[in-house]
Amino acid sequence: MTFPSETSDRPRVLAVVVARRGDDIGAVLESIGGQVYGIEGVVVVGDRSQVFPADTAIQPKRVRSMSEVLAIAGDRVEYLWLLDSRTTARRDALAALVATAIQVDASIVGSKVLDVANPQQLVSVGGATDVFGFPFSGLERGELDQEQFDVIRDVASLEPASMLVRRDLAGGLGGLDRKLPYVATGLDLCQRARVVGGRVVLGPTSEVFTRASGQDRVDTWREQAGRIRVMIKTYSVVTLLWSLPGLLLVGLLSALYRTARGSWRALPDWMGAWLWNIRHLASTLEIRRRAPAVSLDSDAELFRFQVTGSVQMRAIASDLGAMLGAGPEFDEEEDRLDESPTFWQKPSVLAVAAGVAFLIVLTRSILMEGLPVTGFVLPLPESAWDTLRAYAGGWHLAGLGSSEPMHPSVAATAAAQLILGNRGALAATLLTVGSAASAAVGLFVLVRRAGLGLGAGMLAGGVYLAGFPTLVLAGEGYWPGLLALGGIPWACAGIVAPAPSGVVGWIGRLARVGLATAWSAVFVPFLAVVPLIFGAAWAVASRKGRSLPVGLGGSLMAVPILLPWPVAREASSIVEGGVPFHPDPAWWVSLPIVVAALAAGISGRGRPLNLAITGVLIGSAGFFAARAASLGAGLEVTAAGLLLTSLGLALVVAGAVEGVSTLGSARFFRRSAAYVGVGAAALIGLATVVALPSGRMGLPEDRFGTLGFAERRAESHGADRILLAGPGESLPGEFRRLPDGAAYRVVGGSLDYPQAWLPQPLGGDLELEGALSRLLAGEELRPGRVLAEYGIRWVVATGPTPLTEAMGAQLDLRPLSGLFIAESGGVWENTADAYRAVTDRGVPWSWSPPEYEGRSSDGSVRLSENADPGWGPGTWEPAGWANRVSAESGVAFFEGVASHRLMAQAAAAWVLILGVLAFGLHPLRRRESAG
Amino acid sequence: MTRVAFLLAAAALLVAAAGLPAPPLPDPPSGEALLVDGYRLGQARFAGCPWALSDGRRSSSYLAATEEASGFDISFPEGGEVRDALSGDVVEGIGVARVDNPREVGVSSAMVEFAQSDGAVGVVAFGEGLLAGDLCTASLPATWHLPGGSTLQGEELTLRLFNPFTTDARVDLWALSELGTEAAESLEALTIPAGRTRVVSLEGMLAGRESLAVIVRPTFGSVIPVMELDTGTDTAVWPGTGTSEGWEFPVGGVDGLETSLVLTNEASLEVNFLVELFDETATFMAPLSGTIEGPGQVRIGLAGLPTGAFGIRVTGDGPFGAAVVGRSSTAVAATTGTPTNASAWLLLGPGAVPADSRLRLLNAGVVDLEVTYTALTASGEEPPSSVTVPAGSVETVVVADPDVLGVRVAGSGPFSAGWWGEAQGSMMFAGGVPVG
Repeated sequence: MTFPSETSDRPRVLAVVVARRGDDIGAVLESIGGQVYGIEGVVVVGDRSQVFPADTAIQPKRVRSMSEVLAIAGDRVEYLWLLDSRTTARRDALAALVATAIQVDASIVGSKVLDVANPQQLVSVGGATDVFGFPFSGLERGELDQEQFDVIRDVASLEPASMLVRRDLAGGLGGLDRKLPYVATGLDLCQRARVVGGRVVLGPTSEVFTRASGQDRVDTWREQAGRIRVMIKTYSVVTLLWSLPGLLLVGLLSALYRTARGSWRALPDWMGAWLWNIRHLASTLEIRRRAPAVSLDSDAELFRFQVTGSVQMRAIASDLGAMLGAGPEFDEEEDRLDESPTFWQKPSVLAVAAGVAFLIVLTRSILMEGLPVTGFVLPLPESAWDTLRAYAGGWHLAGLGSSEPMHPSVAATAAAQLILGNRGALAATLLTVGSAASAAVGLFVLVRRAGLGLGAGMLAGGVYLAGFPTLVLAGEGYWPGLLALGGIPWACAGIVAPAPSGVVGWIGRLARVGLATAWSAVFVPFLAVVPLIFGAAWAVASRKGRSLPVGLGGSLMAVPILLPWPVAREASSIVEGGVPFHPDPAWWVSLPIVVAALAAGISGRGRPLNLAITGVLIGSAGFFAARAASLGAGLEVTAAGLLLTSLGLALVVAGAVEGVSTLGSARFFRRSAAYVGVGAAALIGLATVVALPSGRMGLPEDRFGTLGFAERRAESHGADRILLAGPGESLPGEFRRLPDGAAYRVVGGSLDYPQAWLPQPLGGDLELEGALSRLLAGEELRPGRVLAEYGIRWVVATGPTPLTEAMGAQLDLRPLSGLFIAESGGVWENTADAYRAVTDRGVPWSWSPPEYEGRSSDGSVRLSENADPGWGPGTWEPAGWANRVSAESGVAFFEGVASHRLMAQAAAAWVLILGVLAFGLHPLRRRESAG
Repeated sequence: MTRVAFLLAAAALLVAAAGLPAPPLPDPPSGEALLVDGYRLGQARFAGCPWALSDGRRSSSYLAATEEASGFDISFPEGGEVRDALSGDVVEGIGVARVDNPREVGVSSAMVEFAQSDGAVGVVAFGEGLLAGDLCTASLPATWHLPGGSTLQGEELTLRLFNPFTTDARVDLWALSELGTEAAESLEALTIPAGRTRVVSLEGMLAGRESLAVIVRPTFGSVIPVMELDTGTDTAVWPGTGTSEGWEFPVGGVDGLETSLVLTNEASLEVNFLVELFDETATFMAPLSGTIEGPGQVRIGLAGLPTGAFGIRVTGDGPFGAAVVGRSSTAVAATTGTPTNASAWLLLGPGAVPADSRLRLLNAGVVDLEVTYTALTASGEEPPSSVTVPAGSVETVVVADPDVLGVRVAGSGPFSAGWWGEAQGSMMFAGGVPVG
């Protein structure tokens, strides 16, 4: 240890070790002792948890705060050398710092920080920040020190591993903020120094060492919280008014993105950071009050060394752009931050921007106004949890009910709603737009992984999202079809991607293909076979045999997620049930498709050809399935066929567009065919603009928003049932037909998505059919009395229907004027008491899905649900087609089907397992790769 | 090779797909039950009675009949609400119940609903210068035909449109006369509010018509119409009907009345018809034939026949409506035909009013029929009697007992039945309810 003589004119320096809890500070003390520059002494700031080596030559003073340090330093000391307790320094580190400080008259000088485990590797050279304090070092991951940063630079922030600070400045600033974590401490000191006009520079000739702790260290909740605190302390009020909300949003988006990438702590960290600041707001404001006044001028000084925009958002955009542009599996990508000056001119970035713009225009009405209520696009229910309870072996909520399991998409949408805090509208919007985004990106990735260019990928993505097969689904209001768009491209991309390395890689690959398939299959179950079909076709087309087993694996892994729906229904009802689609495209739609397919098939070579003929084959198979209604195919089969057609069409377009890149010195005929194919593909792509004007992805306009009248006019026991009648296409979800062809259905007072699919008809349904037939035959003068038995208080004609005529000759359904629902043929209110559940004493109970609740009483309550012994509590008795149970407990519930519940739970567990296998093995895989 | 195989497979699939037909569309809802022309009396839980007259000088009664014991409610919608209501029971073993109209407010409209059994209702009204009535209506055809009216000097022809239902109704009226289709804006788009009866005085709009028929065409909702003809000395009331390609009138002609058969055609194509007449002696009378213009009406006078007591069967090569009107110097009576024949009939009302009532049985077939008739009184059924109705003839049976509320008639084969009454110079015709 060297101490300066009393007569030396060199600046006096006091070494200050900022100790972390429990650290052994022997190494840093040893470093200080070895400095060639003499120091006044050593002070350790910290509690008593630090380990002091007994054999060191230095016996530092231990203090608890910077004010004590300043007192010890006195006026003789000119600089404080702040060292983190985990830092070690070269012998000349302090001398270099002092020299730099004198040379450039700096207030704070930081050292170049190197990795102690790999001294050639840079950890920090200071740098800029964005307005939110997020550091932007300019370093690439693992960048080696080749003296490329060895120039004295003004910086916005420094790492507090080693900083030389003017003693008077440190005193004026009030010392260190001990509530801040490591990185934020450096930022805090530098920002506050700049606010008062101090100069902050990096002295690259001063080298210190510390442990590299990874780039994620700036994302911990403490560092996030620290940055927020620094902003509040150093920015003017005007700047805070816009920067804090901005940080809130940017942080949320970043957290969501990181969550999607498998970082489950991202959202809690984001929330924790803000909560911490709320808790410590008083102390933050106190520091701000005591600090030198901040102003717009001081903000301007801070802005001088800040990059524009958000570093986090740039990182995410770069990440996505790299993922889309490079082709390999996205989960193999390392975090990247592209600081290239031409970042915004990169084709991949432009592709992302164009895709986002297309998606926004395509879904703008949905984003701004929410989804229309039409067809199968129905609002999500009030309680996601209760819906999941009903799904897991409970009572089917549609029509007059059943113990039959509901459609698996009910569970999927309810799960999403639950995750989003039970916000149904938000969940529906995010599911729709998210699925569309995933569809476009997934198709893009699929095309890129197949070896085709950006343009082909973009056009294919657009065609998949808004080509004619998708528009057929959307035009019919088949929302599950749109939600199913998002998964299949990713499954196919997994099939096309290069073989992963190692067992862990294969497990992850299969799980991701299975998970992506499950995403689509849960909405359109027959899509589970698509990976198998695609894998088989791709295996033959590209001569890569592994595609088939990968596709088979993906298909098999997706099936369990559908439980218990497929095993509890008859196979025939699954295949043949529902009103099928029957696409019949006009010639001007078909012609470009056929031309593009032929041109791509004839003129293409190599990868474009492989993709095009795969698309031709699966698209044709899909089109056959979509038109197979006359062979007995029902709703599910034809919907899956349409989506397969859409996928095939997109691949054909990609192959046709890319075909010209394989021409080389091709002959005239082939060259001509290729260009004709490009033209046809462009026409197909151009046709997607027909979906843009509405801004609803092609969904029809709202038809049933006005059905809410039933809730608004509900009595104290809640909304009663509605009988809807009209042309089939004018009814929400599935419907039934009377023998004479009239379509109708029953919905609960509040129409929601679990009611979209009707269960197989049971006793009550058959009785109702008979009653309606009599009503339409004019044999019921008081149909209200009949309908009251089913709890039907409202009758709505959604369009032309014989019901309207029948309503003209009855005595107890009162017409309501001024209500227009769909192509309204009229609305009638039952003047008879129409309760879904009523006690022996005539007291109505409320329907609180999936249970009934009401005032407890002696006797029983009649439940207008299809008779099932599972209703309770107590002794169950059939009441005709309905149920009668005890009213003593004030609640009536369906006990559930144990096997269905078990299967639903197994399906949920399987999703979790797939998720863990798909994304949770990432660290293992990295380790395996590293090994 | 792979590309060829793929393209060929795809082409095969596309060709196969293109050849797949669209799934059969469900038949459009027919709503045929609503379009049934003619009566289905005795098979309904309700009946609409647009006309019953009670005031200080005249009274009316409802005769309700059911196959099984049943309660029934009679309500009187007026001004959009039910002003009065009363109940009755048809006791097992009797089959008919009589309820006197309590509303002495002139003409009123009523709705009758049966609780436990299908049934039928008739109305009779009697008093000073009045003997009228007929069956109430229990089905709602798409259009209503009301032939047989006239608006000659001193006559009042009134169309009553009864809407007992909860929905407002809108109707167009086609007025057909010897001048052809009458044009009048006041006949179009008439609104009949729910629970109200709209009265249309035709003699004010279309005076001086010797033969005036009305076709009521609802464009929204439903109504139950009835025609009321007041000659100054008597009143005839008859309900609207649907159309049929054949009608039988057991009470076609009555001694002392000059009978006219009036036919209506609402279609644009003309309808050719054939009228056959059957008297009590089974004497062959040459059929009459003719054409109803489309749309149009035709009145066939049957005054020159050798006998006054006869029945009528009229058939056409298209659907049409029909009614008979009988007149004398003091009396007027009218009724609609029955579009079907049956082996059993229920006649409501003979004996319910102090008048000479007679049953009329028409056997238009080629086999003699043995017909048994049983009088139904408030105290039960009377012993049955029988009569033979020769083929191609009508038979008239006098109902002597004034307590008779109805008569059940059953034959060994299909026939048709009706009744007529006469009192103090007034007359009425009424149809029967097919019950077997």
